[in-house]
Amino acid sequence: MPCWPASFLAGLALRPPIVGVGPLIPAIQDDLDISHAVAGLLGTIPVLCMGVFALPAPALTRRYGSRIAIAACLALIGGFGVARAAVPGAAGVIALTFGVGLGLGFAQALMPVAVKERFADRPAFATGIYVLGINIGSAVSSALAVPIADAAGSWRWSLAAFSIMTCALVAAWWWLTRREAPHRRAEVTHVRLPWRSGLAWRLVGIFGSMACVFYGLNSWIPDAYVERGWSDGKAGALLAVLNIAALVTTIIIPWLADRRGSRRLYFLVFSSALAVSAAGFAGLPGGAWVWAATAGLCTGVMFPLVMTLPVDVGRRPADVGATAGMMLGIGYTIGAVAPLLLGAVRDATGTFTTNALADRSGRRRALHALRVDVGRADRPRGDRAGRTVRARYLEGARAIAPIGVASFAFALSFGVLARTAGMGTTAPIVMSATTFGGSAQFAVASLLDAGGAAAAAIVAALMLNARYMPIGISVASSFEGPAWQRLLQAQLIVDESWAVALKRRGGFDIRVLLGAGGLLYVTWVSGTVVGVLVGDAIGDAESLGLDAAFPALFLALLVPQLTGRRELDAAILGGAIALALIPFTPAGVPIVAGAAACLLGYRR
Amino acid sequence: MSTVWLCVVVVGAASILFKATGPVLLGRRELPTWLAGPVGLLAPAVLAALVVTQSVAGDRQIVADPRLAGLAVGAVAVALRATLLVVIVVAATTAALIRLAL
Repeated sequence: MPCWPASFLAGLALRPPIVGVGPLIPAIQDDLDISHAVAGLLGTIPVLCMGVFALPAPALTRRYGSRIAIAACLALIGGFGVARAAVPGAAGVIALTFGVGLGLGFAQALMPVAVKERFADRPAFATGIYVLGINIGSAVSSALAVPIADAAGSWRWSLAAFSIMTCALVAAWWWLTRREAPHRRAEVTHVRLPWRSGLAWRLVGIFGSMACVFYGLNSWIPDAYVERGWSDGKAGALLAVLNIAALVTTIIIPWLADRRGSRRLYFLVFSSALAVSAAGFAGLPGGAWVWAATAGLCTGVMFPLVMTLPVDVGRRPADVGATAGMMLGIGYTIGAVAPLLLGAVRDATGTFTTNALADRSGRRRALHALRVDVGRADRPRGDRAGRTVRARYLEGARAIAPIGVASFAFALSFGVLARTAGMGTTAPIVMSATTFGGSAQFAVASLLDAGGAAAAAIVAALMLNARYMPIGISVASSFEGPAWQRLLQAQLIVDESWAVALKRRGGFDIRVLLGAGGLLYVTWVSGTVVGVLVGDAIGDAESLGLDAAFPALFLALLVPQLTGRRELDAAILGGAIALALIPFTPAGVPIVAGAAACLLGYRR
Repeated sequence: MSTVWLCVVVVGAASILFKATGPVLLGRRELPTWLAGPVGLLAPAVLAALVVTQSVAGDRQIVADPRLAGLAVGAVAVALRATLLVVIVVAATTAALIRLAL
């Protein structure tokens, strides 16, 4: 039985935890005594979570059905939201923001599945309904956040009010959907994320570029006009015009789109108009109100229609979930990084005009890259060996993903530390891209920071990275291809990628190493870039306990290696040597010396 | 060349060489037998050394901080045959909660 109000109400809950926090940030910053960068995390974390958790969302709905899954996600948003409003201290507020983001990320990716299950005949309109909820939720929460805080005396009451409203929405969702048939697991088969589908990658590209434009405009338009001499209030009103104009088209055009015209037609018309308005902001900034209204009308159409695409292309709800998960997962990650990059362009060029231009040419370049990608993904279809090879890379990337989060956070702290150590912006990034070894890089940055000589820093770093020579030798026979290729692939060897690629009963899977190492390389370098650009978020990784993730990872990987007496002896000896040397030698030596325990295996 | 860039270039080049030595020079050749024994035990030895240094190493001293508690809870999870994700998350959460409480 179709139930429009339920999906509208679910949409209402999806934005206040992000959008409603924005206007409160100055108050939160004062109260908790935190820097701009740390306060910025309150906005960045949920958006990143919307990317990260969209990927596993299909599994959730497969298991429990969209009714239960969405109710649970909304409950997470509300529950963690209340806790976040109540917890003292900045670390707690930021840690609980991850919980809120978890619910948001899952819920947003589940909505297309809910649409497919309930409104398969009118997908665009049904999508428009919950997107209207999302937009109204944004508008209301951004407008009410400050008044509530002023009236109640603290920003905490605003967050609490939004979260309590979300808890009420959980009850409403549950009651409104009570007539639905219970979910039957048996009917649903396992559906993988469509990594090899050219179509899915094209959706990723469309959603990613839309997210870039949308978040880019929202983050920087007010700043750009304040720079031109507008007042804060007037620049904010410009954004309000953009978002209110979006409300107008959100429902009407999708309603029309279910009846006549192809999706292609609507996309062509509205994305061209959006490009015109972006060019307008850059070329004729005087026409700001017109450009804001046009951009709003266009994004109002684009968002629901893009969200409908997975519903269009998926045959079964499970397919829809998988495609939507991939589209939102990668798309939001792009969208979360875009404002940061645009900010960097602004810092580098000194003007926002290049920004709008860069935005457009960047989009064209992204689309070009996409086409190449799609072509490549289409080719080896049906090749069984090819599939298992790819599965191996993915296995590596998946196994290491949680450590990828920690590694991103540590790269961020490295960027910050390197910056404060006077290494500038370029050198730390180059170092992450070439050295690609956390401990060695930290050693260099901290020694330079303490005023140490180059020689001391270099020797320390070399001792720390020396272990990669024996490790490289131990896995050398797994590498394939010409020498230059082996040289490049070998750069992806780090402790974590090597350790997950070890097989239980001896032996080594090079593809797992490359998948895991590739992911870590990306998180490490991008984390460094963010750390260098954003500045002083230092200490966060530790307060979130991420430093404890590494020994736990290595322990979990060590245990399956202990298959016999000799392995156990080597582990005990290696650990003992390392422990004994920690007080007496520079960092790095204990690991290399511990590695020498492998000589127990020497035979003539 | 400034001190910073000297460090970046030398450490970067050395790291690339360290990592590439085995894969580039040895290639697909099987390891000689005298080397195969030690190499087979390299994984448990290095992993154990990493567990120790990552959990208790401070600046030239052995320290007991929330990392150790995180590792202990992680070890319980390993003993209960939890997945890698669970092990990592419980370890990090434990350390974070202890820091929050202190």
